[in-house]
Amino acid sequence: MSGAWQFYVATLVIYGFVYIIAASGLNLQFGVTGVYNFAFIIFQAAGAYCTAVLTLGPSSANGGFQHYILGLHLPFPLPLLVSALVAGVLGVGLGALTVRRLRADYLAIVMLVISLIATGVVTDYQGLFNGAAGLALIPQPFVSVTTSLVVYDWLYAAYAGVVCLLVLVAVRVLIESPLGRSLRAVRENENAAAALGKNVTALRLLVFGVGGAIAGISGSVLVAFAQAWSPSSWLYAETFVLFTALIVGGVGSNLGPVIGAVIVPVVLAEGSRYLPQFGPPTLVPSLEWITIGVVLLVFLWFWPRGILPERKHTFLPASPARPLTPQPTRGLVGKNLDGEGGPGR
Amino acid sequence: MQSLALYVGFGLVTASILCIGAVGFTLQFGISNLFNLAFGATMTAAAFVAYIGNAHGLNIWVSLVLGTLAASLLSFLLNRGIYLPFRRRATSRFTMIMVTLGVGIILQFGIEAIWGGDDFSYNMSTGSSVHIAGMLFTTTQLTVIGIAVVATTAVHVLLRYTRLGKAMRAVAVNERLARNCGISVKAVVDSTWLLSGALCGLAGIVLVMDVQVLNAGSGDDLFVLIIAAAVLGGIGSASGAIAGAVVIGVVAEVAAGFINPEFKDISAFIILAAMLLLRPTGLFSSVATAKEVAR
Amino acid sequence: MSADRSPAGPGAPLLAVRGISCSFGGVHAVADVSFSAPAGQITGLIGPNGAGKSTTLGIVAGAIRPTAGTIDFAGRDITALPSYRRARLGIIRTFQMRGEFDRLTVLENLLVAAPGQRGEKISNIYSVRRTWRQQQRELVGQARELLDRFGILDHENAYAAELSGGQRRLMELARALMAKPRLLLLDEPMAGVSPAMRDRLGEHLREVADGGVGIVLVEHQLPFVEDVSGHVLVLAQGRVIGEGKMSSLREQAAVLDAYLTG
Repeated sequence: MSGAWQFYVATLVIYGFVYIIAASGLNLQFGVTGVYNFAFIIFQAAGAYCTAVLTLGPSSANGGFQHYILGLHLPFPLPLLVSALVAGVLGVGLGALTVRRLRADYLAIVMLVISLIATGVVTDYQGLFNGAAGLALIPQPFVSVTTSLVVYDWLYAAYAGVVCLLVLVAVRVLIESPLGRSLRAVRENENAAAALGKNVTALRLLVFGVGGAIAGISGSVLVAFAQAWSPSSWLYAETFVLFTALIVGGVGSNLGPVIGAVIVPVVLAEGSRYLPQFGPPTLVPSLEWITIGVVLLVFLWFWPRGILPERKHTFLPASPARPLTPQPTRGLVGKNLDGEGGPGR
Repeated sequence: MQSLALYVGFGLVTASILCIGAVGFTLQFGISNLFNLAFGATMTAAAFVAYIGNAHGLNIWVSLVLGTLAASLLSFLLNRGIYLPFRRRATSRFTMIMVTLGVGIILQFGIEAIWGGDDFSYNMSTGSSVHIAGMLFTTTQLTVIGIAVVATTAVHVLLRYTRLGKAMRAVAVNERLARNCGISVKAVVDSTWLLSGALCGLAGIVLVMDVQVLNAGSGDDLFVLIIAAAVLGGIGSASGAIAGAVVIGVVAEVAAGFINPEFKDISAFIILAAMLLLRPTGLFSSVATAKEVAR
Repeated sequence: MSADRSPAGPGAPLLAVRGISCSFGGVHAVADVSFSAPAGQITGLIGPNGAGKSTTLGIVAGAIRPTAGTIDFAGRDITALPSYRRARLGIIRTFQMRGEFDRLTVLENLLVAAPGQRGEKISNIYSVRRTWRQQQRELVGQARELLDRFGILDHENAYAAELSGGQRRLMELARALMAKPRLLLLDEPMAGVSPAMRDRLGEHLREVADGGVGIVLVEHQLPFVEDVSGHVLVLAQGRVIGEGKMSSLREQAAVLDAYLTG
């Protein structure tokens, strides 16, 4: 493969991993817990900006043409960890909104507006993150390992892959645990969940935090490779793309986000870059968006749960050595309701 | 204080455009219990239809009628063809938002696929400048304000005093009860989408007449302010939409003038976000409360 | 009605409700209701439709906030506690309608109810020593026993949404028991349940009460209430209009009136 080709494929792979990470975070919020976080993309942005200002160094350097807060030179992997933490805390802050108990679609509109406010604030306050122009020349981590650009790209892809795998495993463990079951209970019927002792607000805040942190991780991994980040990288439509990815790939399952992230953002959006450009320059990107819209509607109509929806959780059957007719237990009767079993029988 | 009057004047123009759009948007919510996020793209579509007519030599006002009718028809078809079938399947509220969002994206990028990312403008004169009490308008802007007043008054009269209007309000508050009272809900729903679609198109076209620039993103730029106005006034209430439009329009322009031109949108959003957190049902809250928008 | 009608006995009754009132949009759903529910007994709550029985249960469970009155549980004032905290104290309710987790299996529905699960703490989930798995295995066993007892073990892997109405009531009751309650608030648990099953469940409830649990039972099927309850309260239009054993209540004119006029 030529160098340009390798660069293209490696980039696609890295973007794929980034989208999978982001989709997993959203899946935890939307698919598992039923939280419609329409402002999801701002947490990816938070992670990206955080990593940027923690690695760029002071803003006065490089001729001072970029204005931003902080400006440190933290070594790898600190920026990644701090970004996850910051995005997670922000997530909890946003999650506090859900306490207000708005109707699901109403809340989605609130989140949408907050997403737009965030974009507006960052764009207008130049001193924050260099406004509309955004940040550039963000240094890549561990560059000293190799001088070959191609090797570095694959190395970075491996790094992204490892992070992605860790996130997937961590999310899977969470979903399959009793805590995950409680989250699903909140999704299904929050009143019943509360009536059984679940602190619904705390659980929602938890997934806002964890999901936000995961989004932040995806932003950190992305920005350190792309080396640039501006408000145009995180328009609210990106949240729409991620939701579509989940709806297509499978809502609530472990592999659903993976499939969805590969199909929607990667194949549909980025893959068309490979197609020969025809027509005016905006035609192909417009067709991409139209395709995503049509795919979304088609899936919502025919397969609303997606390609690989959440599967039923079953448990290993009782072994023959342990019969089901119960022994007398304190407070519960030893007889089953047909009057069989129990003491003295 | 002269500049305050100036910005208030700008605010009245913006408020007029917002008025038309907010009433349309809120009527759609009221009748179908649905936030139609394709509203902005529909506005853009109407503006482009008007552009086509105008570019082919039609007078701008004739083109306005053309575009308005097109939006009316488009909205009616979208409801019948896409929204209603989904709603009949007891689709969740959130999924409906995704549906409207999908439709909006298809519309918006369909427009961009055809016309590209370029800017266009209408073939019309903006008219001469007029000074009134420290405010500055062009005659076109005064006409826009006039159109808004006429349109909202007509809607108000319709809702208040005609049988159709009363039926619309009845269906918005309690559809089942309305049906039991013998109201043909289907006809009322269709009429509401035709009407609100017309308002949507009208808003999009007068917007372009005001800002003198048309592109694929035109509707979306204003759409969030329209949502803000409708929600602030109390979603589902036409009177509320008008009140909300005036507040948002004037505040946005005054903020833009006095603080920062970029602040136009942000100030509206902040009002909206604050309102949603403190009093989510808005100023005129009867429909919003009936639909249990907040508990 | 006098303020304190709890039967004389050592210590405080398990549940003591005093003067609770609640109104929705100007209508008094519940007005100045007071009663006690002792541990180890089944207290019936009957009355015509709209009398405020479900609302009363909702107030005790913490789902509805009363405009006046206090609620004491085991001597402690819980009026200000949110519903999930009350559930953790052992106050467990069933729902008249739509109380299930539709897209969780029947077995999972029960597992959600089990209190004190180690696997619900993040620190335990990600720790190397996976003690929560052992506990979950035991809980699965307990849940299966309950399901077997209620005759729905065959459906353990069905989504709750796939069950019939009667089966859902059974599942809800089993789920409530899985939560190791100290006070059970049952809202029409026998709706849609076959008479044979209902009798067995009645027996089961008596045995649960014998184990020390207090039960407040809202039911329309009066013979069933008479069968299982000791003390019965009659509610009409949000007020307590009669109290005592079913046999004596049948004689009270006010009670008969309420049922005839609804």
